[in-house]
Amino acid sequence: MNPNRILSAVTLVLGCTVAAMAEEPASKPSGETLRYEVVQVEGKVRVGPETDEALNTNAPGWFSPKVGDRLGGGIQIRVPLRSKIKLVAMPADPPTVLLIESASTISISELAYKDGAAKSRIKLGYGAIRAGVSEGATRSDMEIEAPSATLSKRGTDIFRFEYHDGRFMMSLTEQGRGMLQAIQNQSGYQNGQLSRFVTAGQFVTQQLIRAIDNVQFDRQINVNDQFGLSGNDKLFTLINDHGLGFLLPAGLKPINMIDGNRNGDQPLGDQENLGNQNNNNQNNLISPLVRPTPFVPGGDFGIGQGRLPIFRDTLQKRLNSGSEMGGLFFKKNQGTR
Amino acid sequence: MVVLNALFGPDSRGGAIMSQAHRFTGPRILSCFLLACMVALSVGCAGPRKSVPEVNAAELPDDAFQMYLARVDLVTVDEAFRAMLILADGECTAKTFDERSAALEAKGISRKQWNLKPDNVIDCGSVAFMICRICQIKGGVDMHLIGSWGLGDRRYAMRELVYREMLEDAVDYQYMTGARLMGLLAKADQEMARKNLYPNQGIDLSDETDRDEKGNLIVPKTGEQKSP
Repeated sequence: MNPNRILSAVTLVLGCTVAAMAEEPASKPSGETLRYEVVQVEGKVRVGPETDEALNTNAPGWFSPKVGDRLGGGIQIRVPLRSKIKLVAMPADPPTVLLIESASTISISELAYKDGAAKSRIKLGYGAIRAGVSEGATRSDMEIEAPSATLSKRGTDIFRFEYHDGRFMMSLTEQGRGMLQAIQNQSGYQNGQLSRFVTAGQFVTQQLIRAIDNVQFDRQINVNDQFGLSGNDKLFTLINDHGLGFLLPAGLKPINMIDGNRNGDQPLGDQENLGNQNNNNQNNLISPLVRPTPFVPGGDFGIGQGRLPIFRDTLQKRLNSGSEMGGLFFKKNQGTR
Repeated sequence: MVVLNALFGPDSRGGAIMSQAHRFTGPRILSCFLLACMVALSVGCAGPRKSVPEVNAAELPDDAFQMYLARVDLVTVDEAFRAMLILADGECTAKTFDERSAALEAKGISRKQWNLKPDNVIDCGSVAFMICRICQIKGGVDMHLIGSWGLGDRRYAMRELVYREMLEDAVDYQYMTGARLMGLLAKADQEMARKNLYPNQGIDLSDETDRDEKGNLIVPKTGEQKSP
């Protein structure tokens, strides 16, 4: 026999075999073959059609699951008080375990292998669900959707999603692996969704998701230590140096270092040289007291800088004369501290 | 309005008093105020639920009743009493409000002095007190010293549950909604299971029970994996 013919025949056979293997990966069954098997159950758990919204679970189509029962997509699981059910994915690729806690209602809308992944779509009506997914040959694509939020996992094991009365909490255990993506449905903001990633040992609620955006602005400003302030903190106190603005006549605005005088002939202050007072600049911190504006003696309800006159009996004399104030605050022609 | 008209209307004694303003002395003002307060307290701050549920809760079994609670907007006293009996005993065998009320009072879960009417909407404070009794939550100093003999019992129970993050921060006289009650029942059930107040299998999924020595997740074997 011609060796070339033998070699070509063998090559042809091998090529056909490889082509056949590429068309059907052995580890990824097609179609709806993914199931959840009941491994533990207690109490009065009821399973029924997903579309059945009737309260009474004694209708046809409802049954009480037992250990060994296999549940597919398109079902609804109602777990009342003093009840729990634990499910394991079958085939275990990837290994997946779920625990539906008491006083919960969930529905499994989709459960199948699609596009090379074990796809599961779970809807949480109310209650709490825990799940863990280990690494396997097949990728896991699991999403749990509640009325106000959605959980999308990223290679995660032992996370918990709780939803009650419009409030939710998503958490990952201390030894959890991977991360969660918490998506809060919120209209009118960034396409109606707020998203945060949760790592091991963390949790997020509907309040935290919003707080994370605002916490960067939450910091202390020591408004009493005007000598220790600098930069934007000093600018802030200078702009809001008193609370007397509402006492001024209509049309007049409070005077501060940045705003200058009412005539507008004083340029805006330099933030870096706010403490510098040259001969041509007037001390605007005491400008309400020396300018002909109504002054109401009493507490300063603004930042609380106030005035600490050394001699109370001479205070009114100083005001009337328009001379500079004494005390602990900036004096005219004072240099930078 | 009927009460106020009867008290202060033109033909009433209150109205006769009000018409003679020059004779309206301090003690009379105080007595009228106290009378108005007593009337308000006697009739209670809560009233009947205005919305009509789609189903009759009395005809539902216990598991369907819990689903009904999750959907209803406001919870009546009768429904709350039934929910408390389900939480405490696992089921509610009483069929009428009087039976449920007597069962709860016998166990010390509710108090007769509250004078709650079955069709009125229940307040968060009353529910919080019953939850504390069922879950054996003793509370702090205020609950022991003041709440134990009736004064502010529901308020301090409410504060205790807020502290334990079982309830959102609110006032004790706020109406209880169905969704909020279900959330509270779920947390109360967890607390009871943790304290082993009822027999349970201890089904759990946590780091302590479902991880091996290396920290890997332990996935229970299914039927296919068990059989050779």
